[in-house]
Amino acid sequence: MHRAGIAYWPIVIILGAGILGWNASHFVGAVQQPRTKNLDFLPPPVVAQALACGQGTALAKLRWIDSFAYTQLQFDRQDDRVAGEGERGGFERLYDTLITLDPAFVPFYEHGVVNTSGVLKHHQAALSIIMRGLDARPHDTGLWRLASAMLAVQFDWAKRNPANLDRWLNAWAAAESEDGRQAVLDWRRGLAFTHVEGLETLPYWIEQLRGTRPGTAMADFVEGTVRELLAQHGCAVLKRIAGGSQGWLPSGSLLPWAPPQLDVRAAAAEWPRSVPAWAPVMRDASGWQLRADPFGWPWIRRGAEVVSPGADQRRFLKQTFGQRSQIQGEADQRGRAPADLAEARAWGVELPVPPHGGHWDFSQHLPDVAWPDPPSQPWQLR
Amino acid sequence: MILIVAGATCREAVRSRAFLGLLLIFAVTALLTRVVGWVSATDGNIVALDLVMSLQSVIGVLVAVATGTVLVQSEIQQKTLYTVLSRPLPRWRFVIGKYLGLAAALIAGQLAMAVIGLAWVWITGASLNPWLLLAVGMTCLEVLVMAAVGICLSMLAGPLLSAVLCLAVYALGHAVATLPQLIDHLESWKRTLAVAAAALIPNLGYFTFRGQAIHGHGMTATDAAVSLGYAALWIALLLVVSIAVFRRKQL
Amino acid sequence: MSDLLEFSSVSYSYRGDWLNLVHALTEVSFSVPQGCAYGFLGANGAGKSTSIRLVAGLLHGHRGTIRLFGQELSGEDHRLRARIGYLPEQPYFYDNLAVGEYLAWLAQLSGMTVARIPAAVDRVCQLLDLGDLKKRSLRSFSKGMRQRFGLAQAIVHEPDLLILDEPFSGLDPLWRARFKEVMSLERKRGATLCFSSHILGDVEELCDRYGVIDHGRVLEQGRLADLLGQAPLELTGSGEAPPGAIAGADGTWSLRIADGERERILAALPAERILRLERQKIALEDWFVQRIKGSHHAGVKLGVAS
Repeated sequence: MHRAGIAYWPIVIILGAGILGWNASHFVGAVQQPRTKNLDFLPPPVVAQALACGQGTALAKLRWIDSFAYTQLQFDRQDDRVAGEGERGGFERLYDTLITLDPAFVPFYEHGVVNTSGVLKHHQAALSIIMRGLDARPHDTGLWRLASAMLAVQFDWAKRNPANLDRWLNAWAAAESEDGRQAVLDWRRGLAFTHVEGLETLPYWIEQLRGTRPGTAMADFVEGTVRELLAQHGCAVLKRIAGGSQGWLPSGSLLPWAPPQLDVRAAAAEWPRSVPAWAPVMRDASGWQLRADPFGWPWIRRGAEVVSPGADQRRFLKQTFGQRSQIQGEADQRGRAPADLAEARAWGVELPVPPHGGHWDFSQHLPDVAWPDPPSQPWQLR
Repeated sequence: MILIVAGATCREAVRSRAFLGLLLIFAVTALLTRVVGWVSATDGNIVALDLVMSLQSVIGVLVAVATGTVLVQSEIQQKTLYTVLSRPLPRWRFVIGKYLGLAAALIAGQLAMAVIGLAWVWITGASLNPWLLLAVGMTCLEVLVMAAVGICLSMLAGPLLSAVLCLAVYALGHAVATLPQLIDHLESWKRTLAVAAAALIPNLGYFTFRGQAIHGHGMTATDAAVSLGYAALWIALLLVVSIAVFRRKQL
Repeated sequence: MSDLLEFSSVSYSYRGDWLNLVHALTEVSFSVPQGCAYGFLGANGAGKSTSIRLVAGLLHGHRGTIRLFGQELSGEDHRLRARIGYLPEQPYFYDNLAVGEYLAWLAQLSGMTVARIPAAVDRVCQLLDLGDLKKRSLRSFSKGMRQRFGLAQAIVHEPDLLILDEPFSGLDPLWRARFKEVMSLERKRGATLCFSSHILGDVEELCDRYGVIDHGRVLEQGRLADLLGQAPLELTGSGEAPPGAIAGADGTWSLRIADGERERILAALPAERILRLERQKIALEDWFVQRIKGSHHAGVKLGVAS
């Protein structure tokens, strides 16, 4: 009688499915936990190169990926001292080797800086890493930007060593192509604004403005915001550089300010070298000149304060937004807009009188204010 | 005559299961390197490209060592060359023909791996640059030199020992590039000894161009010519030694 | 008839295990005339394959003279090998080449012009029933099929001298018969045959000359007919048996006489008492065993350097 043989393939399939399922079950329902791991095997760079058998770049990347777990560990431990290496920590040794194996790979420098400076506050080690990066890739904008940020923020060169920072930024500009130099200018502008009262966020809005198309509602909004910031700054500055008890503007005056009444010492202290483009004054061969405010209106002195009419106008609209929306609601219910301010008040909405010559305009769906044209051209922002 | 032997050797090599198996291993592993690229925090395309090209190099060398060390030796042991060398074929032509056939097969393998690997990383988002082709070419030179090392060692030792020695030559050949730094602190006589020993090993650093190519950096024509000349010189030397030993071999 | 292959006092030694010097051949001399079929006889390890491999160029460094096609073998004699076809003992072949392309490749290596190769390959495939296997690789071949391929590659380029080492090894009786046919056809084509075999019946069937080698020395060689002619005569008669005769059951007697004694004994017997006189058939195998044993008793040993 013929005896059936063992069916091997079904057994293989069943066992294979079982093993695959067992392996896959580790992933099902597993709680994601960050992987942490200590650093092991940190050969010196030359030894690592010798051991890499020509595959240094690939091995460096694999080692780098593996070291993410060590970064995770250091978030909590905050101590990467490695036995036998004196001052040099584990990250420093690791990135020293990784960079030697693949000096052209930018993430090594970026992560090296983040790990040493950002996580462990070893700024000197981070600086040495980034400098090696600039040695290897002298035209990499990202590395220059990172190094500049380190010098400005971690080493406070903007305050403590501005001359060297300036030289540094000039070197960066020299390393960039024609198109790339814009990055340096943007960085300088950004750096400058971090120390200018009221203008800390201006670089952000300038960037936003670059992304808008003139004439659009978004462009109008961003422009208005930029002008408002500049106006606020101008008010604060003019207040400081006004001549002491003499004052320099008649109260309520709209006339341009007369140069002899400037507190020159205060102005020199405000701008020791040159008057920046965002200043409310300018200086040329004929001396100091007062500019109009960013909206084109002359500055107004009110007691000890200086006021920007344009900023006032913008602020007025923001402050009356609630009442204007209320009128809009009433108009929707009644099927028509109010004829004038008196009727609006009669509807129960108390609208203030607009400043600086403006008058209410109820022709729009949302009540607006019609302002007179400013006597001067608004500042050019684009 | 040489080309006749080379043709048969190439056909035999590319049809061998070991050769095709290693190509398959490369293809599967190349797919997985992409995952590593995705895992890396940034520049995953560079990571994947680097790993694929390293894999191509490593597998290429392994194939060269595995086939080079048994190319002639296995024929002697299995006596398959009895029916070949009993024909009007001088032994030197046999050795050169075998090497050329193996070289053709290895280059075909390298190109296949390059196409598979680079196409895969390109499809998954990496950008390629023409220098990568030169890097593939340099890897081919490295593989051809290792194949010649394998053949030469197999004339002097059995397949297993010659494969181990071949891999040692590969490791030392890359370490030689960093030797100046390693021996910097040694006494002069020790340094001389180290340099003399290193002179006996092919400096495989001449063919390591992958790292630069991946970042889009090029190689001058002079450097490329020097690498080519260096490879040709070593291959010629190793083949001459192989022929000299094989001529005296009793089969 | 000139000698196609001639060994003159050829000695060959090599380093064996533990670097001991092994004298594989000692003062070996024999010759293979053109057009003959030469059977090379010897026990295992006698030196047959060594001699053959010296001719095939696989071994070198011998002392003495080997002449092939009238020219002495030296280091640069590869061109002479275009005229020989060699079948090794237990042949091995590349696994991944197909039969047809392998034969074509070997024919090309032997110097055959490309135009003639397809017809030559077809011829040998037909002779050895390999036509259906042309596209198959040798990986899947049995021992017998490899042996057939081995003979095919030996004759594909129509060599002048066929050197076959144990050609019938691994063959069933049908294929042994076919191999003999093919070898006879090759002889008819004009090839000279030289082969070694343990199967002495095959040697007896195919060869007209023989050589016996043992422990690296040629014991004997000559024409097979002469060897077989040395068998004693048998005289059968009736009536009174002469001295030394063996009586038969039917009243006859039989007496073995040497060729030299024939005249004397016949003269001494009446003609009417002589029934027949015939030569006994010598069993080559028995003769061979006796011959080898005889040489061992005579103290011929393989020399091993002390």
